[in-house]
Amino acid sequence: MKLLNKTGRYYLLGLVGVMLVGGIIFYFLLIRSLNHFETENLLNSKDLVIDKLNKMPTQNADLIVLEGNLEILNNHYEGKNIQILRDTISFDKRENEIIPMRTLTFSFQNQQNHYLIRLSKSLIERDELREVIGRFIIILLGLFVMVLFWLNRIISRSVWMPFYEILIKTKGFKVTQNQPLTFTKINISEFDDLQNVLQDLTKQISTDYHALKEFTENASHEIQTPLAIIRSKLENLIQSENLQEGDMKTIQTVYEAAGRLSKLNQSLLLLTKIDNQQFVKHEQINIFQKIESQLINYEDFILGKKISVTKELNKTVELEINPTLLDILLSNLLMNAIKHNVKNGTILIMLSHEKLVIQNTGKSLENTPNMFFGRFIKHNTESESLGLGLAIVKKICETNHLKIDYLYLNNIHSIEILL
Amino acid sequence: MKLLIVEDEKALSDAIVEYLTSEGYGCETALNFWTADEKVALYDYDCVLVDISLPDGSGFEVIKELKKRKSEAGIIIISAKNSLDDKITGLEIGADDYMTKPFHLSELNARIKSIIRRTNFSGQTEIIANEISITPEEVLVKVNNQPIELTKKEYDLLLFLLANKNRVLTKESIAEHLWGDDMDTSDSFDFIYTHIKNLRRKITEKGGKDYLKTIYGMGYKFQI
Repeated sequence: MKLLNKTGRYYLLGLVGVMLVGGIIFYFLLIRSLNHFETENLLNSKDLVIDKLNKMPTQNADLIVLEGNLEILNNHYEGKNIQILRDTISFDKRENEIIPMRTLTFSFQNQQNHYLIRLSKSLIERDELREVIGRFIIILLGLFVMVLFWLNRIISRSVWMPFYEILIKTKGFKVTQNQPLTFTKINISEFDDLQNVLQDLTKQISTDYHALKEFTENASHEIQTPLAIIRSKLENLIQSENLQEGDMKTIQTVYEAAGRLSKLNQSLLLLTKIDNQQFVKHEQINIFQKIESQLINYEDFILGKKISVTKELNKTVELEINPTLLDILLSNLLMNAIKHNVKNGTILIMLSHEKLVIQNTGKSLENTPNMFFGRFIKHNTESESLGLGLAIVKKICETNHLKIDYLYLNNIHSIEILL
Repeated sequence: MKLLIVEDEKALSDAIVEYLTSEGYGCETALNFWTADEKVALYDYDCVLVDISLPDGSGFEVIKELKKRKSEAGIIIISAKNSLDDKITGLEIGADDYMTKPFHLSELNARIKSIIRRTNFSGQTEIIANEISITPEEVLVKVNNQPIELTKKEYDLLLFLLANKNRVLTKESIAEHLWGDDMDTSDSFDFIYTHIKNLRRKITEKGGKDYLKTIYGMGYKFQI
């Protein structure tokens, strides 16, 4: 929901409340005034009647013209003096409806008669009044909604304009590009504050990011150098002629461990680098050719396991991607399909403009397939592999906005990448 | 053959010198930028190994200095940063090869040999080990003057073994040499064994001696 709609909604709610309460108060005030006015009116009429009857005692009281009705109930009233005000209803034949009336019954004595007179006057119908006020409120509300809508559009176009500009700029911010946001002053204090905060924030983020990047690289540098020393020294050591078999075994173990540590470090560094989007240069690359050359490189492994490879490859499929990353992606996937295959197994590689599928026979799977995209997850815990291969594949797909899925059914493992 | 090793880590520098000296190279070392700069100015080398990050300067400057002096030395960058940018920069300003630490000394040795072979136009390009001879330009291998058919991997393996004759080559270094750095090496050991077996058979079939020794658990050796 847009902010302006939200505030508009509150305004509307407030307005409805105010209008309702206002309408009710207005109604009651009006009723009170009306009551007062109508009673006054009757009393005035009474004074007029008395006045006329006093001046002209012989006149037939029925002939006195008044607004409202005059009824002479009794010419020879014998009760005590009264004056009674009462609300009743009567039936209006003309409009064919019941209308409220107010009557004033009073006694009066002149030289001739002792009258009991009833004056009556129709009241303004309360129902009608309520209806009129209600209609008025609804029309007012309708007008207000229209004005509010129109105002909102104007406000969002003019007043909020700088905000949307800030938003667009901020969306364009990329931490990898080492360019903190810069803004020009708008002279609206809230937006200027926002700009300053964003400016400082992105500057801080950029600095931190590059410090971290540098740290990661330096750390890996610092690890690689001692590893290089260990391995080089061991390589020199094994050249020695007079080593016992036991020594050789020890050296072998240390050498292998150093090798694994180095691979681990390189893999984690690769993940970090992909994460940091340090593989910026993209090229249009023909995938078919890459797959073919990788298959040649791994020919020994395919032949060794007597795996039959079926290819359904579209030769024209191209992908815009960093070449190094594509190499890593394909080699990890193909090597996986070979490594986790069974003897005399099969590999099916399908490449179309829509997707790349690498399918291989393999051992049964107990876990959910997509779990293997996590880090340090292996099919077999005793395996010497690092369990980072598919994590790297996943990361490469993520940074290149490719959707990847791992499907498994009846010992057939299938990795699908939507291109 | 004279080499200059520009590497600030003394232990690593020593290990490289030890390996390469026993290969018959004359090795000089520079542990910092200024020594390297000085030595490059004073002497001629056949090949220079340069670490990019030195405490008092950049290895790139050493390469630029070499190129300014029109040196014909082969240049190999040895860097701890497996960074594509560094690699591209290095090759652009005239380096011949780029290796990422930690590397195998045998691999380094093979690359030095190949560079020296390429840059030394005057010298013979044939690689000869008794009755075996290889002509790299033609990818031709002969035993007792009879050509033998090798697969690409067998050929690469033979070349790698010959570059490091009389040296124990670990299975790991062979695997990385044949299949690339990303290789999960342990899966490939069986295949190395198969290739060695085939090579041995193909050489002995033409009357060659069996030079390929298996060093139990560790790797293989071309013993002459």
